[in-house]
Amino acid sequence: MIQIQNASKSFKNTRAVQNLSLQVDKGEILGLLGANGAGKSTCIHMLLGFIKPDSGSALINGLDTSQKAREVRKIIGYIPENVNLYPFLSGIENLDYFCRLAGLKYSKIALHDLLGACGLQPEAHDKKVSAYSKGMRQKVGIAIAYAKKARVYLLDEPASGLDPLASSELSSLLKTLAAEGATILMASHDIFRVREVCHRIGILKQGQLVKELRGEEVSANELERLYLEFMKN
Amino acid sequence: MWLMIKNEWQFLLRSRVLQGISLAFLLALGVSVYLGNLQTNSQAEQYAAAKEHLRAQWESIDAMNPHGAAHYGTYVFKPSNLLSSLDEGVRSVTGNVLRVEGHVQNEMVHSEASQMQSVSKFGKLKSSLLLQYILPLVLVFLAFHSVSKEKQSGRLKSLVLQGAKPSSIVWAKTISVWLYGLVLLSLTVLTYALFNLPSISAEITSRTLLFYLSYALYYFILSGLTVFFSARWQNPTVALTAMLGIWIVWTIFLPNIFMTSVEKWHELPSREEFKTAMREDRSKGIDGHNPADARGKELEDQILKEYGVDSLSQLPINFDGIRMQADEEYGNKVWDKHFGHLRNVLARQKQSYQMAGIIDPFISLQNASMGFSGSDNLHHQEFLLQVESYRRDFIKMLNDKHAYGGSKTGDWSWKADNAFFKSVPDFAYQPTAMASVFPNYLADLILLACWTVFAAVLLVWGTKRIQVI
Amino acid sequence: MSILDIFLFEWKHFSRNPFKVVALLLFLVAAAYGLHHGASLYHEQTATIDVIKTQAAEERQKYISYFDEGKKGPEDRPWIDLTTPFWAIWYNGIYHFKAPSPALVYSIGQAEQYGFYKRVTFWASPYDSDMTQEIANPERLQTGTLDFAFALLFLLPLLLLILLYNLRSAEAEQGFLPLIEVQAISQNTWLLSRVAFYVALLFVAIAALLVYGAFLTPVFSSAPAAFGRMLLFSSFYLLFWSVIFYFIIRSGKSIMGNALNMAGVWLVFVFLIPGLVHQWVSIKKPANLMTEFIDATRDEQEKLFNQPDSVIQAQLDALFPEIVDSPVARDSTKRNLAMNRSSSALANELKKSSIGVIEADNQTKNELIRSTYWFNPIAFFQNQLNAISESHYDHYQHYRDQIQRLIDKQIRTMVLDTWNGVKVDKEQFLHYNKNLVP
Repeated sequence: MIQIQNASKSFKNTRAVQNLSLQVDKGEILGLLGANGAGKSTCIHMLLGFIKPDSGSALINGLDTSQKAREVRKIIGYIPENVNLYPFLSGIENLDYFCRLAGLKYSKIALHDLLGACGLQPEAHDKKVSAYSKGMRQKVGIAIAYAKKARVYLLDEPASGLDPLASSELSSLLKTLAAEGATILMASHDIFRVREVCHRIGILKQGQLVKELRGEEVSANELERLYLEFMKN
Repeated sequence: MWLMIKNEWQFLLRSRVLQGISLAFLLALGVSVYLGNLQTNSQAEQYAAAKEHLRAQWESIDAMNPHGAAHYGTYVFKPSNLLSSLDEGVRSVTGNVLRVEGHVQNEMVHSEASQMQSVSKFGKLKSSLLLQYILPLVLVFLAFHSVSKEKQSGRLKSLVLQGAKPSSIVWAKTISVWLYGLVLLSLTVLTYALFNLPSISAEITSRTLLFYLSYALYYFILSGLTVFFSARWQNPTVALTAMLGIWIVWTIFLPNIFMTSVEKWHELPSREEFKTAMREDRSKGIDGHNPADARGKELEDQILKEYGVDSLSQLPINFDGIRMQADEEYGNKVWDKHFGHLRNVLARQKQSYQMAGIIDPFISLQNASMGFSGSDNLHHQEFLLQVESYRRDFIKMLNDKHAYGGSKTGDWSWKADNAFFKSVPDFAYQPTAMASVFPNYLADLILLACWTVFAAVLLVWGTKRIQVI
Repeated sequence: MSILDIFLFEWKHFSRNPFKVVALLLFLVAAAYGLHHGASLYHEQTATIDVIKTQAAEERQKYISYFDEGKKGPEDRPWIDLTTPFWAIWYNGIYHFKAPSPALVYSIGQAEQYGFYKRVTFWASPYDSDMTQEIANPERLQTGTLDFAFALLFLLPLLLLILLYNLRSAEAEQGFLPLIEVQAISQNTWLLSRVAFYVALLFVAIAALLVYGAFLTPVFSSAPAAFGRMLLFSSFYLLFWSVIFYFIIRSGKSIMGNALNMAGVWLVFVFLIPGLVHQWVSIKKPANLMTEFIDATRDEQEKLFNQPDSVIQAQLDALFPEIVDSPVARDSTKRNLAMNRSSSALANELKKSSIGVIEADNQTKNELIRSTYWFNPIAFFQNQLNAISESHYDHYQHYRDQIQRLIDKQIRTMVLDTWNGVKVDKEQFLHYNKNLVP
């Protein structure tokens, strides 16, 4: 379970997050929409334990991320906007490296299976990552998180720059993960993708959660209208 | 293009990091010129005091046998050179004192390096240290990102769409970086000129200008190459690592490898081999101290015949002086042969080393810098030749006095007076004129010019294939 | 992740980066070249010493043969009388050598700035012109010699820079450092292990080079301790740069920033600080023009010998009280010759006092340099390596001290035997050789 309780964070004179509270339950996907600088990435970085909130707390499965960062990270899968990997290693070597960093050792077959399960074509597994497209790298990134058997996924603009097919594959994968019991928080600009994937949607503005609604309750057009309204006001 | 250069300079002037680097560098340059000057002046004072002290000793000889005076001898100190505050060259390893005496040609001894433990492998903090090793690195750091930064930010696309030619952009970047180097170089030279205003002569000016030209060419080569790499490769890190690699290979690696190798290609004899060969050749001549020597006898007969007398006692002159001078002249020939061979080997080593400038322009710069500062081995050899020439005149004067001063053969107790010793001139060093040695540095300048053309061609050729995105 | 895993992956990182591999190879080539250069100097010096020893032995043999032939000396030089202690000692052809240490293969140090063989006579001094360096190209001496120490002191940090500069910063620049942090490994452990891989790699390379060098000269058989000390100091040096670079890459966020900072530190330690210290020492204590020594060997000596015999005799008596009542002192016909021959003892004392001034001056310079070690680590390491290979100033100072002691001993023997009227025969000639040759 992901929890942010009355968290605030300022950088110099800018308040990135203000008294923010949110919760994502097991098997649930929460999408955070917001303009640039709305505080989406700050939220994710607080949950990753990279940023300590000035007040309030960020919790993963009840553990305070600023105090128990290493324990928390053992159960977190993180997919940034750009999954950059070691270009001179192959996809499988990158996956192996990251798994080993997390203390996990998989056989070669298991590593291939993991990449396959995340949608990477088998012929790409042994190619150097320098030849990968962004979508392919994103899939390796997901495989890294998946291999950790993460129970919580934090995604920062995961579909940004992906082609429609790769984006759609990502959506399916996230739904599968949620169905398997994963807790997912996804920050995005992409209203339509968020509407399609997320169980709940939050709109962030100037570090505050200004609106929260359920995915099934709104159509994509309605969500877009609401979002633009909040952004204009 | 000038607009772009102006724009680049505005960026350079506003960059905090660059302001810091420039300030630190200028400070170091100021310190180096100041300290260099201080050292040169203190050396000059020490030199003048030592010279005066020894001359006073010489002039205070009341009465002494001229041959005794030849053994008493004198000493020549290597004078300091005004431009050595910019580049000290070989000065610290060549010794400072040379004993001038009869029969033997001594070598320079007591080098500064032998008077203390190791301190700095690359020499003192002279301007040349900063200008040769550090400023080029600063230029590389300024230039490696210059074009790739424009590409990554998309500005290159915009500039090209606005009608700017890619080649103009690349040239503007190169010239901006180069100008930065020239500004620092000019400041160094100007500071040096300010410190030495009263001593500046046409000779020093021409040497300084050539010094400036060599560095200016080298800085263009480095700026051009770095900008070229920056234009060719999207990734600035590749340009930086490539230039760092080139800098290391050019500056640290190759000069050492080549210098050590040329000494093996053109081998100098060991001191023992050299001494043995000299001794053997010398033994074939007249023994100036041994009246029983056979070759000395031949000379004796010749002189007796010349004066139309039968015995040495009848001679109006002192034959010992003539024999010693003949011995000296034979020794001079032996010296000319052996030291001439040494100088030839050193010259061949230098020529081979200069050719290494084909693949390493830093070597050409180093040669030119030392040469134009008058502190390289060639200038050192010129100094040694002057001392040897002085030694010959000095000893000849003493031998002639012994022979024709009024004493008779075998009279070693006869003494020349103080007026004679005062009349023996002191060694006066004539600094080597640039015009006389300039051809020796032509190869270095030509190679630097070739590298400059090569860098320019690379820029022209490379920017034709530049990828805007 | 185990350290072994990190090492294995780092090996992949390294081996797939041609720039790093080429840099390592270049370093190995330069270091091996340097080892060969050091070995060649060792062999050259050893060979020269052998030649001189042989020549000296042949010359000595020639003079021994005069005893067998019942002659006093060579006929064409009648003034030479080998039955007198003066000529017998003179023609014993006594040399003192500074035999090169096999560890010269590692660091040439100051070996090329001094002579390493010296004919010891009554008139000799450790500052004679034959104590100057071997014939060499001064520009090469100035540019510096590419020996192993050069590769270690100056190229190793650059190699380390090339190997380490993009660790962590490459991940940070490309944005996947958070991905690594999320893998729950400690950043310090991860980075330290990666740095440790390169340190281990270079340690192995250095050790291999040192072993290779040890086969070029008899290091293991003649100077095994030097090998151990060289390995120890090389490791310290490697560690010194590794720690500095580790802190730079740990706090650096960009590749360029790291490269700039690392190169900056290298420039400061290699060029600026030693250059500044060198300049400072030169201003504070300029190169000695040896006027004291010149005065001692010329004017003072001239004055000394122009003194009345009685004064010279008194000075000799003060220096060697044993001769006051010696047989020759009581024999007025022989006293003058003995006094003349002993005059070198007084000249030696003059030279010694002037040398004392010069050496005190040099020691002050050395002290000045030593006092900068805490911020001038390269000079510290350079001098440590020179000390290991016995090519440090102090070793040559020790050599000069030995020469001076031999001169003193030779003079003392000559003076006492001369004044005691010792008649030299073949046995005594050989006895001198045994006693006076170090």
